[in-house]
Amino acid sequence: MKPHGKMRSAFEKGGRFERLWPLVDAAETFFFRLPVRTAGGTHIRDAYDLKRMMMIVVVALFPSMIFGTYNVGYQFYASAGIPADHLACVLKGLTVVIPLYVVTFAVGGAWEVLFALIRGEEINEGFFVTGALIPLIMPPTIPLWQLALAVSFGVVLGKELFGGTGMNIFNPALVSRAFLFFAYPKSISGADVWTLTGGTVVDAYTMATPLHLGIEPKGDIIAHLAGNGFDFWRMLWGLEPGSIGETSAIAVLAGAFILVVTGVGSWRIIVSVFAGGAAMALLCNAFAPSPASMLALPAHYHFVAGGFAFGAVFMATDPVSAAGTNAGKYVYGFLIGLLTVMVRTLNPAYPEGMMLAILFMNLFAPLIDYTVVRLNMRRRGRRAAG
Amino acid sequence: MAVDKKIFLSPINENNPITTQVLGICSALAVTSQLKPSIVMGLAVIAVMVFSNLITSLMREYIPQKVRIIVEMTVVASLVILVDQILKAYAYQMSKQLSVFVGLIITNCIVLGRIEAFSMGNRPVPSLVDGLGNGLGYALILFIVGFFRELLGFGKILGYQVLPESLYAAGYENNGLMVLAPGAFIILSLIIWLQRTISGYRED
Amino acid sequence: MRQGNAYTLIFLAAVALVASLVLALAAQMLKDRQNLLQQADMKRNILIAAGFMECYADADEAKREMDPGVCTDVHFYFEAHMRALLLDHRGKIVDEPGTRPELVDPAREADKPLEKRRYPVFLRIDPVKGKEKISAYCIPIYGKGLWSSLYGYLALEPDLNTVKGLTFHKQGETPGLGAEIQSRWFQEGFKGKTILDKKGRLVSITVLKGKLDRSSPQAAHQVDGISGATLTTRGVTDLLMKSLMMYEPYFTMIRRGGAEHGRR
Repeated sequence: MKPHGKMRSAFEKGGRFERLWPLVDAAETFFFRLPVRTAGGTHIRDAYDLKRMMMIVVVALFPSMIFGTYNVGYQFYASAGIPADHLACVLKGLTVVIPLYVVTFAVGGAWEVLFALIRGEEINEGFFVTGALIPLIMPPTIPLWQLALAVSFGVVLGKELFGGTGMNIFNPALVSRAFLFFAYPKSISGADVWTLTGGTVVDAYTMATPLHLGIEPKGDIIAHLAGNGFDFWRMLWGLEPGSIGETSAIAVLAGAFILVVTGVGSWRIIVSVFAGGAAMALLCNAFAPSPASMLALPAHYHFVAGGFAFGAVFMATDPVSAAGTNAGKYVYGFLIGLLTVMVRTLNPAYPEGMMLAILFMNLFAPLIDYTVVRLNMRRRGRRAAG
Repeated sequence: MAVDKKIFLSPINENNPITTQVLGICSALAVTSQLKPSIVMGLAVIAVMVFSNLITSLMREYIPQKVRIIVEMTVVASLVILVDQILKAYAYQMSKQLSVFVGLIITNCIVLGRIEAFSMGNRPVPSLVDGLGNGLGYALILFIVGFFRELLGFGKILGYQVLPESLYAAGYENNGLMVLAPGAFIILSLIIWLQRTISGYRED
Repeated sequence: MRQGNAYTLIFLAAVALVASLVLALAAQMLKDRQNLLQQADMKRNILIAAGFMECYADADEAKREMDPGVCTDVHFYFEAHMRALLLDHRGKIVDEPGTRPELVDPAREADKPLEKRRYPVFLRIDPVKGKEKISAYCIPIYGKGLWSSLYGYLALEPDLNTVKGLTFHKQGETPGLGAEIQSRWFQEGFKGKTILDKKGRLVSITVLKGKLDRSSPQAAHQVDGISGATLTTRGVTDLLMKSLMMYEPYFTMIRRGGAEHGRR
């Protein structure tokens, strides 16, 4: 029996609380079977819908989430010079990550409900993935009120302004991060924000991220990174300071595997982002004035530094803001990788370029698709004529 | 002589040159990081618009058609230079802050747009009112944008600290995005969104 | 007839004539006032650097002393308390009545050939027991930050070693990061620092990447950095060294007791 069976009619069209219908609808689709049944003939159906797709993305994010939580705690104890076991690291990490998620979902959810009520639309699950992504691309030290503002900005100006889920030009999670990056740069740039510390930091611990160290390398860049404890394998595994979910390329690749196997994430985009990054890195290496320059950083280091892997797998593949045509996806991904490495190496003011590159290419995705479609039409037109 | 109230009121709200016609955006972005330059800029544009509309309306019967744009530009340019000179002489700091954007009033499409669309075909008094209305419509948006950018970007209004020290002590920080030009874009877009939601205006 | 060529030409000539007359008249009438205000603006910056008044970007307007509109005040203060000199690249005082030291633009000077360059110095003169005594040397500092050119003044104590004050009056750095060079805490950090090492060589002042370590032997020549603004602060370090180098010949002469401070 449905407890709200009788009350339901008051919320339906024409009822007293008509305006609140989206809330009832959301609760109903979430907790109960729909009262709507297929009326016509039988259809072969799969339950594969937006909800399912989004759940897969969230599942694919689990490795990064779990590792990120552990890493926050690990870096905390490492910076304080206190030996700690794995459990202590996870617990410490949870005290950081849980508040971030609570704030993100409370604020983002409130905006979703508000807009659904005003517009009289169903509350959709569009915020689910965005909300899961946002805390993972934040530094662990981000003040909660700034996070709340950033989430509001991402949801309202990044998405609702354009008409809601599926209509947005930019990836809302990255819009949130870009907002913080320009509005409160102190909280999300520099060398001091990427590790949660207990106040005192032992000398042996490096606060700066590998990319930050790359701005002014002293001597050979790889040796300089290694001297600060960042060799390739550590950066691959991700026990290093950085945004919560971005540090471990291994965890991201595990997520990529899930996305690609289920067909939710486009392998074309993922592969071409890496190809673009490699191409630009090789070009930079060729023009590097000396090994003591960011230009000399080899491609495989770029892949495991900062948010490159995370951005390629989880941000660039967002089907709403990415290019939609297959050929377009290659171009789109390739240029993201290219621009990321270009920003990292050539603009010393921005040590990381992934966010800016993806947002920039989001803007061009419709143009790329348009061009691909036009070229295709022309080709087929010629074929038909010839 | 009765002047239609609409000539004055319409450009302030539903026919606002910035939010509806989306003209004059350049200066609306450039000078609005604080309220004071926004006010001065708004006043400068009002002055230029009122007088250029009035003067061209007075001359409209005598201006040869084929050179009318040249004549209009001469009038506007002279007025702008005059405003610039006066600012330099009486508010040097402000004129330094506004830098080239006072001079760029010449290229503000609203000015030439109103001359071409209104004062070349109307009597002086309605033209003056039209210039005043459009100037005010422009200035009003500048004030709003400047107000929010200064409040959020610096915690001040007209240079006076309005956000209390205790707020900063509690961890609040000024919003750097508002100081940058995109901050003006964002506030402008929110104003446009709000206005169009209320009026139901749709772009064709 | 009103569309004829002759009419058009005459009409245009008349419009141009009237417009130019009005503008010429206005320019002539306002010229003196404009010059006065322009000088007052620069003098004000120098007075701030010399320690006469405080002006930080993060200060409240209400707490900023001296109304910028009252330009006569600034001129009065400047005439009463400051003495402006013009130097050549060897540190010799030159007499060029045509050049106003406070209007010299360091960016423009840098483009000139070395012998033609002029370096202004502003001396703060305070009466001590009825005698005039120099209490500060102000020099303009200029250089590149991350996005923009930085303009400011550096004031040194009469020992020509200790920093009395530092200001930046023009910059276009990232708000919240590089733009912090205009804030109180950053500029206060320079006060009392020394530009010479123990042997008397110029080491200038370095803006660090992080926080200052007070126990370091170099601490007297270093100040706290701005977190996240590595490149702006590196620019500040560079421009301080560069600007001080330009004045080193003159300062060396004074330290040896050999330079004159003639009134211009």
